[in-house]
Amino acid sequence: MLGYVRAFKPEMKIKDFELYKGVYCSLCRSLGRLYSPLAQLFLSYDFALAAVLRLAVAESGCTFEQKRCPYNPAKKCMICSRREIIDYCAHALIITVYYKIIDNLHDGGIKNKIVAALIYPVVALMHKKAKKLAPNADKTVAEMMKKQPLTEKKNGVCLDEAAHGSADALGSIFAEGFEGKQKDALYSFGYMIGRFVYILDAADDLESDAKTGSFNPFINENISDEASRAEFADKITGMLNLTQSQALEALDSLEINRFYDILDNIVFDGLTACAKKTLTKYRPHEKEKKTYTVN
Amino acid sequence: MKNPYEVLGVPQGASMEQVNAAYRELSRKYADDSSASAQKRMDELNRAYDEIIMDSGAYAGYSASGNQSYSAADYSDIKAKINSGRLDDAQTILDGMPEYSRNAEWYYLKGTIQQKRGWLEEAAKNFATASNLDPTNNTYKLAYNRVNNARNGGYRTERRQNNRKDSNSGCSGCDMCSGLICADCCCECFGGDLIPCC
Repeated sequence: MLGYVRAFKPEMKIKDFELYKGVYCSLCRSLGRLYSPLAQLFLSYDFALAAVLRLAVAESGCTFEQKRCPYNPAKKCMICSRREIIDYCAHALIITVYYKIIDNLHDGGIKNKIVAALIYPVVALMHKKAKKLAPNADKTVAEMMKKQPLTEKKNGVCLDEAAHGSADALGSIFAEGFEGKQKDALYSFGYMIGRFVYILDAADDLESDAKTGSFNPFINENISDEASRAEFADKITGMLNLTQSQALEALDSLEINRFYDILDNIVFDGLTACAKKTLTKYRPHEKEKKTYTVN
Repeated sequence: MKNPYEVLGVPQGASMEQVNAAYRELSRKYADDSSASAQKRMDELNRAYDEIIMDSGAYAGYSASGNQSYSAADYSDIKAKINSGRLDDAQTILDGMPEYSRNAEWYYLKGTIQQKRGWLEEAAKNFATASNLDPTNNTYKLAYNRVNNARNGGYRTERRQNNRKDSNSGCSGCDMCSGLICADCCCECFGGDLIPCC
């Protein structure tokens, strides 16, 4: 996951935004405590969603306590009391970063390869610890990474099949440790979020992948002139909408004890805004000034 | 979700004829009305009808096309498997059917399995094939329309409206108490008393 999943601030209550940022800060702190300050560089809002979700479905609530941010002492951050939940997300984050780096080592551009080779030894150490602390999450992602190249090599692989790997992995990470109906709902929620991110990422990288010859499920799409680019953007938007509608359905079938508004904001407004922003490069140039339209 | 039989206004376990008659009558009533609430009711009605049809064995024979090369029993078995969540088994049986014998029903069921799995694009294709093969069947058309509606972002307006309705839903217990206290203050200003104890 690459920074696509984040809350949409304009539609959020200020309290909710503070809590959301608090979860983000807590995750940062967990990373620093468990995996050294270097791990904090990998922090992203994507895993804040995982943390908010797990806090939301937890049986008992949590308190947020004001503490100082070590990097910016003027800033105060709210730290969540449910450490074990935040820690699980930190493990999952390290695990995905590790496999992402291995992936870059194998088939990234030359720049990516050098960066990956430089940080690999450190991340490998972190991964060793994460693997011990969250063995199931590691197994899921490792399996996915093994299967994905085989899927990509297949002839005429369809989008659904290509997206299945990462979607399934995220679903399993979300559902880890739950049972019954709740597990199914968490799994399909994670599945749809993973699928959304995969499709958006693939559409985002289409041009660079076409240059380097890397795998991309949309490689056969025509984006040579302005009209066909806009058509491509519309097509992707349709696919994303379909996925988002299923994610919302899964969210509604979850038994949520708190933070519903935050989750709804991320999935409903956040994903929409992000998809729109990412796909603007395929649309005819529009002015970039911020506007509000009120009917 | 509401009990589908209740939505149609028929007793639980009513016969297919009763269900069909009730559906026809209600849908005619809502079809003439173009207001948003009528459309919502229509949606609810269609969903309820679908569910009853899916649960009953009558489904496979319900298709209007005549060329059913597979007997109703085959498909109802698959449907039972889908409903109980045994998607792998259902898919194995479906994939085992020879290509020439695949009809609209086959594509519809295949699409249903794929939708449950999250393979939305393939599901959409199969729903489209099903409704092309048998344009008279409402279930296939409904499934296909639902996908297209979601593709165009139709769920967004619906969700916004629902949220708005939740936020100003009538008079809460708190509203009533504060209303009474206000009334009591007013009465006291004019020398009377509504609530003697305060």
